[in-house]
Amino acid sequence: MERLIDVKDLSFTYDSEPLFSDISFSVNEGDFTAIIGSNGAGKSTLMRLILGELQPDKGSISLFGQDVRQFKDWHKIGYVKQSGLQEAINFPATAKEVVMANLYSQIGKLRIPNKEHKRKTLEALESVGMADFAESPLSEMSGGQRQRVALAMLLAADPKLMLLDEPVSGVDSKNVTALYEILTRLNKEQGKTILMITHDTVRASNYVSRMLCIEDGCMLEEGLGHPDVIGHYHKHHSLNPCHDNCEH
Amino acid sequence: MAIFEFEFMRRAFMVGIMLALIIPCIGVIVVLKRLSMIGDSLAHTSLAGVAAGLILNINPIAGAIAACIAASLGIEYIRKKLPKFAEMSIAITMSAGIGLAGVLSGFVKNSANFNSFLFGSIVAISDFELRLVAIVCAIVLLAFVLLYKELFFISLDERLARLAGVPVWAVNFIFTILTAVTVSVAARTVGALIVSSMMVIPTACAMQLAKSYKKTVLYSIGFAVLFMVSGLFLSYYQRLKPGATIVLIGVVCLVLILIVKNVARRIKKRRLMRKG
Repeated sequence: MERLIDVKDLSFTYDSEPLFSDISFSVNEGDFTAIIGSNGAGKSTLMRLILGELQPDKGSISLFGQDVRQFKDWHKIGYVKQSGLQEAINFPATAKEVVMANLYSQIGKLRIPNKEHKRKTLEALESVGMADFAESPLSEMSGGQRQRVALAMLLAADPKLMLLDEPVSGVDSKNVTALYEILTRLNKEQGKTILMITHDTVRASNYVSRMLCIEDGCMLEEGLGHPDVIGHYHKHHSLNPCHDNCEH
Repeated sequence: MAIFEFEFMRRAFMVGIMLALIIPCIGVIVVLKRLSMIGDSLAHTSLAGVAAGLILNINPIAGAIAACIAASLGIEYIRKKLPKFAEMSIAITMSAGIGLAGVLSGFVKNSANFNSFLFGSIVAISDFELRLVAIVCAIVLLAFVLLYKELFFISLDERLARLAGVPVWAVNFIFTILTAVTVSVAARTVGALIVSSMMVIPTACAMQLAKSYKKTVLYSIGFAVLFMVSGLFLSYYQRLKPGATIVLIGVVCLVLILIVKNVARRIKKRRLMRKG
């Protein structure tokens, strides 16, 4: 099974404060992995490092077997940022326009979308249950619907690896379950590999195949089944889920 | 019509409509990138270029274009360095531009020429200016069509656009140059103090009515042409300043749209409450 993300001995300092040091983990093809940890533990920073937006102090990150600094196949990776499309609430665009934008690498520079791109767009919206909203503007959608459009945006590009930074934040309880079900379906039926940052530990544990915990500057429970991590999470309270296991 | 018997009015309409086609193309992107005041900043900085041009005895429009390009690259640089305070980059550049324009204007011998850039002189267009506007109009429209999806994606989310493979730096650079050139040329015709409103008001009107990005762009152009043509007619028959009249028509139109939208929303709400 291909190793899609390989993080080795990674250290990062933020504003002269070490955020984490010597963390290592990997994500294999077909995994549905959640990263948990308290606020400020460095989860989103880790995501930015994986995306090559930040440079680590030490260690290495490989994507699809290539060092992230040389990695060029970004079309293989789909990313939904922490706020998804929530910031775009007043952006005058329809769901269809937004989803099609992410087909950029397939459409190509200075070219216009063809029928195939339009079909892929509608298929992606359909797979997240938003086909009826294709022509609806983002401003007329709920938070949950905008989050689904963000997912459709990612799916349209058909990435092998999906990186999701708190995909259910700001989404009401009913829609959270629906979103997790969509992610599970994508993972199981379409074989998408998912790495997801979440605070929603309890519900996420029902869907993911694996949980990693980042806390006090180190990564814990790598390789353990999720019940162990959840146990730690509840034992030590959500603010510091796994600190007693940290060696630093 | 009597108005079209005069060569200067025919030129004013030609130049006005060409500018009304391109200013909203720049305006939509500027507004969506939350840099609405960039036009104001560049227009003020262009005055420093105009003053420098008049002092050095070179074409003031060339001076304005050079100053605007330098200012817009400065804005882009500060915006990258302070991403969370993007609007501050505009304020810093505008302050520098106004300061420089103020100091340099003291050395300009022909102050009437300098003042014509403040409020523009759309009814006194030279052959050179007509040709310049036509060339700029063609370039901006072509670039906007070719970079349509790139500009849309960058305005929506620069980070996602970069990950999707959009050459963000190159597109931003081209857009910055186009903005600078458009503002400089428009400042000469409609006036430096008015060009910013011409960028923002048609877009603001369009955003009240359009439900998609494509329609927002088309409606913005439609509104800009409407304001330009009606402003030129009104200013000619009522002997008003053309640039200021064009902008005021836009403001009145925006206020009317907001009022009508608000009334329509209340009526809809009442009907729903009655049904419920």
